[in-house]
Amino acid sequence: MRERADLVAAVRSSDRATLESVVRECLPALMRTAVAAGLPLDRAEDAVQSALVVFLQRAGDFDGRARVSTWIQGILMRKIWEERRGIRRDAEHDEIDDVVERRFDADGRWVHPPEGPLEALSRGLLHRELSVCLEALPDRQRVAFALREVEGFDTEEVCNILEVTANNLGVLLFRARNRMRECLESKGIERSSDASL
Amino acid sequence: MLRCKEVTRLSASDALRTAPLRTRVAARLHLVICRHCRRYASELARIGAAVRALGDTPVRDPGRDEALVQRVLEESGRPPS
Repeated sequence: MRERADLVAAVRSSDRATLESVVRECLPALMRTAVAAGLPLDRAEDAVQSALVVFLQRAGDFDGRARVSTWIQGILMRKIWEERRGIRRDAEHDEIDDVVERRFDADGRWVHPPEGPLEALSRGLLHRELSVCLEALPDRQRVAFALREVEGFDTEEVCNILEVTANNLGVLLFRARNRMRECLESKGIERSSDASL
Repeated sequence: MLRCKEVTRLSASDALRTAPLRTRVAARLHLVICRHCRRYASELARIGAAVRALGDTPVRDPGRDEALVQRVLEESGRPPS
């Protein structure tokens, strides 16, 4: 998705009022991303602050091929990966892949069909369970999931922000969503067995 | 023919949108006839929506955000007027 031409021009010319309003508008989403990437609140603030300073310094280089929000999120992610070199690579193998695999027979049909807490979710319950399951995601899966589902970036934009291919992103999202689903399903089963006691 | 496992992989990895037309049609038809895959897809959609609603809950103190904005403006040499 491209940025609006008038906004591109204003950002490129470092128009102060425009830059300030972009900073204010993007701040809450940037904080959510930094926390989703696994940073504690104070370090998340530091990372967001230095990403925004880089944005203001480099505003003249903004080419408008992506939305300005996507561009800043990308700057932030580079800051975070720089700080945490270890989490840049994704595991070739992840145990959630096996968990999903075991739900199907050799022909690819369900042997253990989904039994997630659909009704509780649609009634807006399970806040605590959702937080716990989110917390349990590996950092890169959590940040991919948050950018896509919470911030609403499209897949191309998330690839751009995380500097991954569409295939890599597909793997991250597949693992994140299945981890969330499996986690909530196991908690749903715990709840119903509690209730039957 | 598209099996449940492949349909769930396509939907969980966001690959359905960019899949060839034939695959997209086959996946749609599969969802019509397979209630397990339908359930799986709606669980994923509900989980996304529920996490989004969680993110909307204001947890940040606006004063803290403003202080961060001021630090950014100062540090980048654009003092607020």
